[in-house]
Amino acid sequence: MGNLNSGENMPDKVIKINPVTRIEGHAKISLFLDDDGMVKDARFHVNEFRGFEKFCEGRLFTEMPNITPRICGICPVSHAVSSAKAGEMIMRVSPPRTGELIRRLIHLGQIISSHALSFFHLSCPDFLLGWDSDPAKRNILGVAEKYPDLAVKGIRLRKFGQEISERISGKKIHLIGIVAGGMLNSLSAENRDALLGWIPEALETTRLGLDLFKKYCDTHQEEVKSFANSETMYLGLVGPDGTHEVYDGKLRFTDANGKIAGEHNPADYLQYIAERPVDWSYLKYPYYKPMGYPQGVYRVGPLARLNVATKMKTPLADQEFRNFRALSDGKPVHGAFYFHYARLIEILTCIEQAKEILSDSQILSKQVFAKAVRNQAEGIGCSEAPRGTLFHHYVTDENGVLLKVNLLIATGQNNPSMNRSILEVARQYVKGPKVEEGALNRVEAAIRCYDPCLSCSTHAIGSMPMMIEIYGQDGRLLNKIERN
Amino acid sequence: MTLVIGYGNPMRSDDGLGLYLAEILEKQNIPGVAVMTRHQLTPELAEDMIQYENVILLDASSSANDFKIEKFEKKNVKSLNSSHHLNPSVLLNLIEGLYGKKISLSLCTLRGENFDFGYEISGTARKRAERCLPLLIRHIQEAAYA
Repeated sequence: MGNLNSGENMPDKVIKINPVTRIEGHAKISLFLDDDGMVKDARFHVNEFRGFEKFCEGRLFTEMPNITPRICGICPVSHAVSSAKAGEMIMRVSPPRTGELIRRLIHLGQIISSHALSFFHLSCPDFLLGWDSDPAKRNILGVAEKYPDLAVKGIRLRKFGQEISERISGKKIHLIGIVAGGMLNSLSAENRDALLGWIPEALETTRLGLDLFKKYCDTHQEEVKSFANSETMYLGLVGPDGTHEVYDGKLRFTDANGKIAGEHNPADYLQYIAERPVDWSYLKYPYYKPMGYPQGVYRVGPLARLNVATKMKTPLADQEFRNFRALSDGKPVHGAFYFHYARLIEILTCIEQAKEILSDSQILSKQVFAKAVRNQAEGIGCSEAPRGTLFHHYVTDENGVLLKVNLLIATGQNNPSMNRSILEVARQYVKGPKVEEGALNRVEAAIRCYDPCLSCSTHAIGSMPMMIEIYGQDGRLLNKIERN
Repeated sequence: MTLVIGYGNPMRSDDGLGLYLAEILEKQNIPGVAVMTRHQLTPELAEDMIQYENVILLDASSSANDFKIEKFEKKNVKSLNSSHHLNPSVLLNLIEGLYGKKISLSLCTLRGENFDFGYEISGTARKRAERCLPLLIRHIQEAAYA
């Protein structure tokens, strides 16, 4: 790491690490065949190394809501929210009601934006253009060419999510304005009205997405049901009566049959979540401690949140939630393909909740920040990022300087399941050392269901930078396919 | 009207050169020029870009040229290997394909020296920015009157 700009009270520190600038998302997959040429095992390798937990040591905890959003260019708000909440535990303070409302609003906007990108830009090309279609056109440009109206609507839905952030935080880059104690900015009447004006269009576009997805499922029933459908536990935040939550609540773990395995305070996460390193990836394998490994492997993210919830907060989303649950007679829906459905339902509830918050009588109040100082050493903040449950855990000295930082990122918690899903899809579509392009696309789609954020980076439209290595029973490399 | 978009990562030292230049330009208050800063190029930028006849992107570069201007045409589309971060050609294709609008799009890059973790633009890059600023302003003015 290079020199970090010293704040007024910060000693100079130089820590040297030398990664490559602007690392793109890079997926490497290894497939292992048996004597009959069938896929025996698969590994999903994540090679990025970020080091935020280490280089943030020595910073003030109050700086973290500004630093940690840089972990991810797609979900900076989630990091800011979890970071601010960790800081508030250290300060033993809660934001004023309006501060929390605005924070919830900006958080909802990020989920809308992230989910819209995942569905309309990353996944739609497969649904609309076909899994085996020309990869050069199986992307946002291909969709734009054949379905321009849908492409524009998808872009505008994402823009709405981002506009929530921009109208709250202002025009300057990265000034999200989420801090420990509340918000730096209040909401003006003009911005509130502008955002309310987006709601009807946003709802209509989401309905369009739902119709598109359901139509695809109706015409591809067997494919959808059998796609990466092994059972796991699930984790998500829920409200007091089990209501779907993305901002705050308790951790609910459910087993593969939908039975609640445990409900816990997020501050106690280390008592219930353990991580197991693997030698082929920088991402570890988290699992639910009381169940042990591998029985305790759980999933997070939209599918998990809908599987652990008892109901949704808002009427349109709740109606759709019942349709979702009906897919498996009320039990958890395991098929990875249904991540897309869950994502769309979450967009729906986020839009409905945004409307409620914008219509709240106190939303324009200037009381958005509560001032306090460090009052205890340790703080843990938790929220639901678009991809799943996110934890920020800080330990500070008496001056508020960070001694230790632990970040449990959403995508990392899905690591074991992503590996398993790749294996399932590879077994279904990869026969022998020769790999057809359409099979490659389906293996990629297994990853895409989870919408992973591989250390802030990107994942591809239709042609993810990917390497697949196929090994024989004797460990000999039989074939290697690289793309981009 | 001209839109200038500076983008990059301000936490990676000179990777934030695009933003640095954009902030300098904003203070110049050049008539008919709007300035925006972003972390990266994303599809929804198309909606902002179609409001203008000319769009000039500013970014850092690690190549040999101190300052380089590259003009984009629709036929220059490269293969897509990214979605959260798009290249200028893709944006141009989106704009023309989806909105039927033709705009003039160019990318100005300034060479950076240090891309390590940090908030500061290096001294060498700052001096380079100072030296190249008149070239950039001239390009903006020429684009506006083209």
